[in-house]
Order: sequence, then C-alpha cells, then structure tokens
Amino acid sequence: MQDVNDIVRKINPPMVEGDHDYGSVTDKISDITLKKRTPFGWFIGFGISFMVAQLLLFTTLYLVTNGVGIWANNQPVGWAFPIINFVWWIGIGHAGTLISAILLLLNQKWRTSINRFAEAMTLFAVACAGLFPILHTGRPWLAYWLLPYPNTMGMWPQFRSPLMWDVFAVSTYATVSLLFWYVGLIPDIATLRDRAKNKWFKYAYGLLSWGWRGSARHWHRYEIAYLLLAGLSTPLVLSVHSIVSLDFSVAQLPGWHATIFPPYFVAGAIFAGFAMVLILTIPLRVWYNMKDLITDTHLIYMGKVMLATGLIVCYGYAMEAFFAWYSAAEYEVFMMYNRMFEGPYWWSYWLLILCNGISIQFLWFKRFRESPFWLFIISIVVSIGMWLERFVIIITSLQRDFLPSSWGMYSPTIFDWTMYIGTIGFFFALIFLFVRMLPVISIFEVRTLLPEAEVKRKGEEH
Amino acid sequence: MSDTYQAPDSLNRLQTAALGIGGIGVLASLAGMFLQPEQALRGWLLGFIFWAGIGFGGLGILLLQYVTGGAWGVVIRRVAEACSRTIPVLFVLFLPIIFGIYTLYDWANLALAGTDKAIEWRGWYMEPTWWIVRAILYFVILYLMAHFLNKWSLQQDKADTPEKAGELLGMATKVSGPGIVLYVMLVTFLSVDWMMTLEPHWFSTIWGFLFVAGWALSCFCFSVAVLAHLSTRSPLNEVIGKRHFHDIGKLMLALVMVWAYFNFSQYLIIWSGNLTEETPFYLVRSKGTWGAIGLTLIFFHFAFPFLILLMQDFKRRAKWLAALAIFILFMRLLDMFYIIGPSPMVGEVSKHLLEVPFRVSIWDVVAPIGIGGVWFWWFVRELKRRPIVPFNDPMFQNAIKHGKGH
Repeated sequence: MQDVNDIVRKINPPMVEGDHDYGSVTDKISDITLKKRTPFGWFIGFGISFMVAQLLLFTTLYLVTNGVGIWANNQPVGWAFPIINFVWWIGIGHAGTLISAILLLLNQKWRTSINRFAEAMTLFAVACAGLFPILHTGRPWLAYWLLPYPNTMGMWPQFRSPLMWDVFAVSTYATVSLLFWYVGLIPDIATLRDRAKNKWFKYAYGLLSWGWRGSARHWHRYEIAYLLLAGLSTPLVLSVHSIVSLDFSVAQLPGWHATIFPPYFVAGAIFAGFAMVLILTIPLRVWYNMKDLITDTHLIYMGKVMLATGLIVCYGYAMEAFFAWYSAAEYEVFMMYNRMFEGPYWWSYWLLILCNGISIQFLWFKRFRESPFWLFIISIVVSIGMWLERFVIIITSLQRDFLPSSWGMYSPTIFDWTMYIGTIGFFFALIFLFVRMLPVISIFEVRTLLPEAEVKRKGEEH
Repeated sequence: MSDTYQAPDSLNRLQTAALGIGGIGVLASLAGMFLQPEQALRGWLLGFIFWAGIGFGGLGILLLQYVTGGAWGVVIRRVAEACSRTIPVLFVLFLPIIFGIYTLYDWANLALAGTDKAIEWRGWYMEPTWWIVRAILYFVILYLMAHFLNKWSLQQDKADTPEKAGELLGMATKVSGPGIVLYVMLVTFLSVDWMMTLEPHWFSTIWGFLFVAGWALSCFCFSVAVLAHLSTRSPLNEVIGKRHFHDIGKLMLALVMVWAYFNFSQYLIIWSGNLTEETPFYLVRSKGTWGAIGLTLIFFHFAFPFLILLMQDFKRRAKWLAALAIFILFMRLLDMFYIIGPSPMVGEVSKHLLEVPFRVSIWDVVAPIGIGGVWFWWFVRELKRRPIVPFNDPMFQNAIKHGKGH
C-alpha cells in the first residue's frame, strides 16, 4: 500500500534530482564557467549565431545609408516587419519576468533553476526588440527625440500616442529587468570570484560582485531588494505588453480595435516566452548534463504554462471572430471575412490557427508533455505561430483600407528578412556568451531546494 | 480533534434567518412583478446576476484550485463546493427572467418585430427561443461539471486507502483542466446573453473575461466571510491558519487588480476609438449620478481595497479580511447595477439615448436581499451536509502545516 507521503511526493516532485549537496551543486554550476574547457560545440554554435548576426550589422549599415525605403513598408501597410518583429521579441522577453517575479511572489519553487536563464533571455530579447522601432525612425541617431526633454526646437512628444507610452514602458522594463537580473547574480558572481584561479577572472568577477561577503547583513539587504524588485517587475509583466497592444487597439482600424487586446497580448507574450525558454533549455540541459537541476518536472510545468497561456490566446482569436460577427458592423464583418477567407493572406490566418491553436492541443496529453523532443518541436511551432499572429493582425488589417481605392499588398524585401534573421543570430550569440561567462543557474537559490536547507527542529530526522 | 469535521451549529441560526428574510424578499419581488413588472424584473436580474456570480464563481474556484493545487484550495474547497451545489436553486431563481424576457430585454421585442438591422443580422442567435435553449444548456453543463466534482470529493471522504483518495484527487485534477476551458467559454456566452444584450447594439470582446474575473472575486470574498465565521469555531479553528487567509487575501488583491485592469482596458480602448457603435455605453454611464457611480467603483471597487490589501497584517487577520470582503461584495453589486441600471428599457433601444436619467427602484434593493436569502439558505444547507474540510485529501496534512507557518 502506498503511503500518503508517496502520493504527496508524486504531486509535488522534488525540484533537484540526484544525490546533491551544497558543495556538489556549487561545483556543478560554477564549473561550467570556470573549470571546463570551452566545448567545441560552443564554438560552432557561437560561430554560426555570430555570423548570422552579421546580417543585422550589414542591413543596419545599408539601412542607415539608404533609408527605410529598402524595406517593403508602403501605403497602406505602413507598419510591417519592424513592428511585427518588435512585438515578437518583446513578447519573448516576458517569460523571464514572469518566471522571476510572479512565480517568486507565488512561492513557486520550480522557478529557481530556470529563472537566471530566462531573465538573461529577457534582456537579450528586449535588446533585439528595441532595435526595430529605433531603426524604423530612419535616423536612429535622433532617437533621443522620443524623450521629453526641454529643447530649443520646441519639440515635445505626443503623450496621447501609445507609441510614446511604449518608449517609457519598454525602457522601464529593460531597466528593471536588468537590475533584477544583476541583483540576483551578485551572490553567485561572488562565488565565482572566490573560486576563480585566473587572476583576470578574479578581478573581473570581483569588480562585478561589489564586495559581496555573504554576511547576514548582506543577505538581509539582498532579500529586501530582491523582493522589492519582484514587486516592481510584476506590474511590468502586464503593463508592457498591454501598452504594446494599445499601439493597435486605440486605433479605429477593424482588426486592431478590440477591447480584449491587452490581456490577450499579455497571454500571447508569456506563451511565446515560455516557448523560447523551452527551445533554449532543452538542448542546454543535455549539452551541459544538467538534467538533475533542470528536471523533466520543470519541462512539464513549462509545458503546462504554455498550454494555459496558449488557450487564452485561442480564446482571443475566438472572441475576435465571434464579436466581429456579433457586432453586425460592416467593417468588422468584412475585416474578419477578409482575414479568414477572402483576402490574399487567408493562408496566414489558418497557418496561425494551426501553429498556435492546434499544435498546443497535444500538450493535454502526458505523452507529449513528458517528452522533451515533442516539447521542443511544439515550442518551435509556437514561436513561428506567435510571429504569424502579429503578421495577421498587422498586415491583413492594414492592407484592406477603408476605401477600396486605397487597398494594397505587402511583400517583404530581402532586407526585411535579413534584419529579422540577423536579430535571431544576435540573440543566440548573446545567449552563448552568457552561458560561457556567467552561472546559468542560480547557485545559491538551488541550494535552498536541497533537503539540507530545510530547517528542522532538534531530533527531527531529515 | 473531532474526526467528523461537522459544520458548527452556529450556522443553523443564520440559515433560519436567511430563509425568513429571503422568503419575504422573494415573495415581495414576485408580487412586484405584477405591480411594476419592468422595474421589478430589472431588480430581479440585478439580484440574480450578483448571487449567480457567487454560485457559478464557486465552480470556477473549484476548478481553479484543482488545477493549481496549493494549501488555500484545500481549506476553501468545501465552501466552493457548497456554492457550486446551488446551481439548481439558481435555475429556479432564473425562471422569472425567462418568463419576463419581453419585459426585460428590448431586443426580444425588436427580434419579434424584425425592424432592427443588427438584430436581424444575428439571426437565430437573437431569437428568444434560442436564447432560452442556450440558457438551459448553460445551466445543464455547469450543473454536470459541479455534480461530478462534488461526487468525487464525497467519495474521497469515504475512501479507505490513501491510494484511492489520491486517485480521486487525480481524477478531479485531470477533468479540471479542460473543465476550466469549458467554464470560461460558458461564462463568456452567458454573460453576453444575459447582460450584454441589455444593450443590443453594443459589444466588447473583453466582456467574458470581466465576468470570469468578477465572479471569481465575488466567490473569494464570500468564501472569506464564511471561513472567517467558521474559523473561530470548532472544527475549523483546528485546521485553518493565518497563512491560509494571507494566501486568499493575496488572491483577492490580484483579482481586484485584474478587475480594474480589464475595466480600464475596455474603457480606454472604447474612449480612444470614439466609435458610434461603442461609445454610447460609456457616454450614458459617465453623466450625472451614473458618472458618480462609475467614480465610486474606481475608488471603492479598486483603489480602496487595493491599498488595504497591500498590507500584510491585514490579510492575516480573518475578521478584518472578512469585513473588507463583505465591503467588496457590495461593490460587486454596485458594479452589476452600473451595467443594468442605465441600460435601455423596453422601447428605448431604437431611441439611441445618449443620456439616461438616474433610475433606481425599491426592487433593486428587495430582490437582491430576497434572492440572497434564499440562495444563502440553500448554501448553508449544502455546506452542512458534508465535513467542512476534505480531511481525506492526500494534501490535507500539508495544507494544515502550511497554514500554521508564517
């Protein structure tokens, strides 16, 4: 007969597998950066990503010298790839903040071994996202005009525009995420400093750890700072993508103007973000042999979050379609009909439904949730789907203007593609550098998950 | 420690009082339907939708706590279950709305006359017969979901091995995932049918979410009040701890914020769009007394509870939390009144009014009290029928331990 404790353990499985203690956890994670020789595979991965990133560099150069005319943005499709990619990247960033802040406030222990990684991913994704609107201004060296500062030109930003809100939302988001990530890193960087043998590494890690000694007072302040930053980040998870959604929904354009946009975009962002976390963690834990720290349970939980947020996104699609019909407003009805059946981009809508709607239904089944292979495949499909979602919303709504005489078409140029693919290379290159140089998993937080960390009364057994 | 975990006798007095007040209120309201049919029915809808929110919300919370796990779910489960078992009573209370459909919903008359373009476009969806069929369907499906979750929970109490109890928990968890999807879809469409069609030309895609979140908040607040009452008496005082209240308080805070977030999204987007088919909803509701109610909701459905719930100490004291919960429940009622009150009365839809005089009737007070009394009487009856906690649940001991911690 099973004991109650066995059942409890089955419902709440341990988050660290294998026979670990404080020392072995520290060794395992810090050795990746300090002791192990750079694996050959790392050079290949980094090399490829870095080369792909050159596409971005080249396109940016060409863009700056020739102007935004090298892209296919036109009338009526004035917003195209730049904003699709911006929203896509910003969305991907959201998983990091959700994992680090909201799951911390909810006492979810499974966040611990993936939060560092997801936060780094957030920063790099936001960096990629930020490039697009800045470059879309055509004169990126004047991007500071977006900020409200007193000047002799008599210029002042338009505060009623959600694009302006974006400037504040995204820059706040980037700042808080960076602080959160860095504050969480300090104790671990100090560990690396203490363990580094190389003089230069010692110096660099020493500088970055701000004289962390691990005293009780340090820890006390650290805990307060971390909790406050978590509190600050929590509304940001919702606000940033809500404001991104307002870029569209405050307009009167059918297909953009829907009240469900804020929560639906937030869910979509978390959905895309978890897909990217899975895409990165599944190979990482194999290459660095970390299946005991990033366990199958972690992957299953992430799969469940992906399913839940994906279903909210599907709910958004359903509501858009239902209310377009229910509204009985001719523009709404036409827009939906054009998007789904009649318009030239009808295929993108159904491809979207396939990628975001159908693919995630497999996650209902244990067989797929428990298989890293299938999770990986579904995550890639979802990433494509979330890109298509923005394509569908932006392109199909714009290309059929209110007057048929203003109807148009959109097809991206080679530079639209090189810029987008270039940012993917840039993103992965940064990830590779991060994995090599900093502890990918929070060492001290994982230690708190071990059985030795549990405070026991005298005489109570472990 | 008592092994049966029977609900305390203190509930009996409340139950009798509830039946007395409820019976009088309901009879008065029904009489009102002959004296002032329209006003009485609108009051009835207000009362119904408010209390139905707690009943249906109970099913929502039941599903949610099975999916997410957590200690709060174990202590709140029996209260949520009792809420979900009120669905049959809610159906009986819904009957006046079915019979009064032509007095309550102007679109039903327009559908009959066939003069309104938008209603004609929607075809069978806006035919009273189909509307009633859908309503019955919502009740049946929601009832079945509640029925099975309640059945397994009862079987769990009687399970003789931990294995069997674990299996039943596993089964409930498995069903709750798809169950939540179904629940959200049903609440969405029933909130469109019962509430959005009061303004038949108006639409908002976030409407369903507003009700899903609002009803979860209603039921959490109601449950906190019940748990606070029980927590000072045996047997719940041995089980429930400060930390449970703290956790539920956090969920209340989250839902207060979510409610504000959804409403603000809806307002901002409609305001900025300024389209003729959407804006009248808020135009009417921002003038005169209606506008004052809107501001009251901003301050007292959001700002005030939000600021108070930020305080950690407050969430850990059962009585204080319960007092705030009851206050929020009044705001929930006002929120429903804010939707129903200014909505067009019979013959008004085709006038496209941009200003509606403030109108409130005695029935807006009598019906919520009457329906509430009858509903509460049935709720207590259901609550008493089972042990007050799922003591056989594999997570039960963990949940108690969690509550006593800090």
